[in-house]
Amino acid sequence: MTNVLAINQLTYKHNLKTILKDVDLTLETGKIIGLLGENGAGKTTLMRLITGSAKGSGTIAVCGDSVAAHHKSHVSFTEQLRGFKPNTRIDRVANFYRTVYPDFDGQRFEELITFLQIDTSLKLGALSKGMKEKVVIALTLARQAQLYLLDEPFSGIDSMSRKRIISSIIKWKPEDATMVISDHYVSEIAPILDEVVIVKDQGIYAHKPSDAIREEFGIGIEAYYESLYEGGVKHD
Amino acid sequence: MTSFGSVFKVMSKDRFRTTSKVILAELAVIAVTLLWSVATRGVSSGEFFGVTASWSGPAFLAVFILMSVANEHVYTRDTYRLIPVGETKLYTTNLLSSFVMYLYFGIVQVVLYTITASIDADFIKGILDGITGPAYTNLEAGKIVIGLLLMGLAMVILGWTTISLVHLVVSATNNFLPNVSRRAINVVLYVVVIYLVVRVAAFMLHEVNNLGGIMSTGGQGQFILNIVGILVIAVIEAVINIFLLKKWVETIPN
Repeated sequence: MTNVLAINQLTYKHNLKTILKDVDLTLETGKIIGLLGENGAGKTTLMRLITGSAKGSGTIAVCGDSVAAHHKSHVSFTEQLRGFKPNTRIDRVANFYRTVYPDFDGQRFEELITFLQIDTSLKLGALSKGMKEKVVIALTLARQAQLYLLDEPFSGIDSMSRKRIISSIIKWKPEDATMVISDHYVSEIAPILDEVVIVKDQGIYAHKPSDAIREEFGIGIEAYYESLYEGGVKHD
Repeated sequence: MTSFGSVFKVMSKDRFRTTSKVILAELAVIAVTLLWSVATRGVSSGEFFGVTASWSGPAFLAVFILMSVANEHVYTRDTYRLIPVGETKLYTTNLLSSFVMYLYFGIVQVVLYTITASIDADFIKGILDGITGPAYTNLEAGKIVIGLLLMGLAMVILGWTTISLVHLVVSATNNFLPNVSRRAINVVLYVVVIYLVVRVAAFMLHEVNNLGGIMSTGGQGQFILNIVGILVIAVIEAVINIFLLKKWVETIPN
């Protein structure tokens, strides 16, 4: 298997506070990876560093390319559409994506909005949190990228929408693409994760395949994750 | 990577809409002003041109401010910063998009001036005939108009690069400083900016006031040099802005 992401000695400080320090992380292609950690642990920062939205020191190579500007061609990130005015219709947002992302698949987007039950004539300002998250997911997955970064895609949305989003992830993830899903709730995404990466104490505290966790510790991902915070499982 | 044309298209769409709205608002205000005149005392000679010229200034300022806001918006929003292009292309396309929209607005103003000047042709001819001072030939008058336009456009570009420079310096320094120092530095930067804006405005007024004299004494070379000087400063600021974007300026987090 080849690596889609290779991070080496990544450090990030903001307002004189160290958020991430000397992070090393390698992710293989074709996996669904849970990026877990409590609020403020640095999950979103790590994703932003990968996309180039945040600036740290160290090297990040996406698909073997360490030029920051090139990462954007390989990575599809769930950005929250803050560049659009609230009165922008969803179909206009989709047109924007279609124009600027050569890998945006219009057919795929149509299938996604049908599956996620999105009305594209609605304006962004009129959307509920859950509906907006579905739009963001549809736009993100409609790109044919090598690395998908889904930043807390389930926060603040109802269980039915969460289930639909999880189904869409399974259905539309390209086989050779890697998907990183950050969250601090684990139970619902645990069954689809191939690996988990836990961000804690300014670094990668653990990076393990889901099967290895179950075999080695005899517990599920959620229990393993919680035990790391409670000190029940010793990290190697 | 995304093509220049695609980035230009998405950046210009909203700006075209915004500029067109300002034009519509300007036309509405001109119409209301003229209707008010008709209803109260009747339209006097030269009023069509006078009212249009009066409202054109604030409209130019409004478009400049709105384009500045659109420019700065791009640098801190993931929606734009995640587009697969390098910072140099993003920055230049952003600036060019605003500049083209400003030209679009300027052309509409020229059309409005032409229409209203033709309505008030006799009045304007009377005013021009009554002006005493240096007698310019048509060629000299043409040079003065072109000189003013070029100076104006160069100042617009310098204005935008300066606003971006301040915004990006503040944005970049905010990442490194604790909250207390951040506020203090921001205050210092804003004072510096206000000072620079006043100096630039004073320079511009000085240039405009002296333009007639410079032209009549054959000093076009000096005037062109001043325009080139403004553009060189704008290019230097643009290079610093691109460097800041590449190295330090982050987007607003989700």
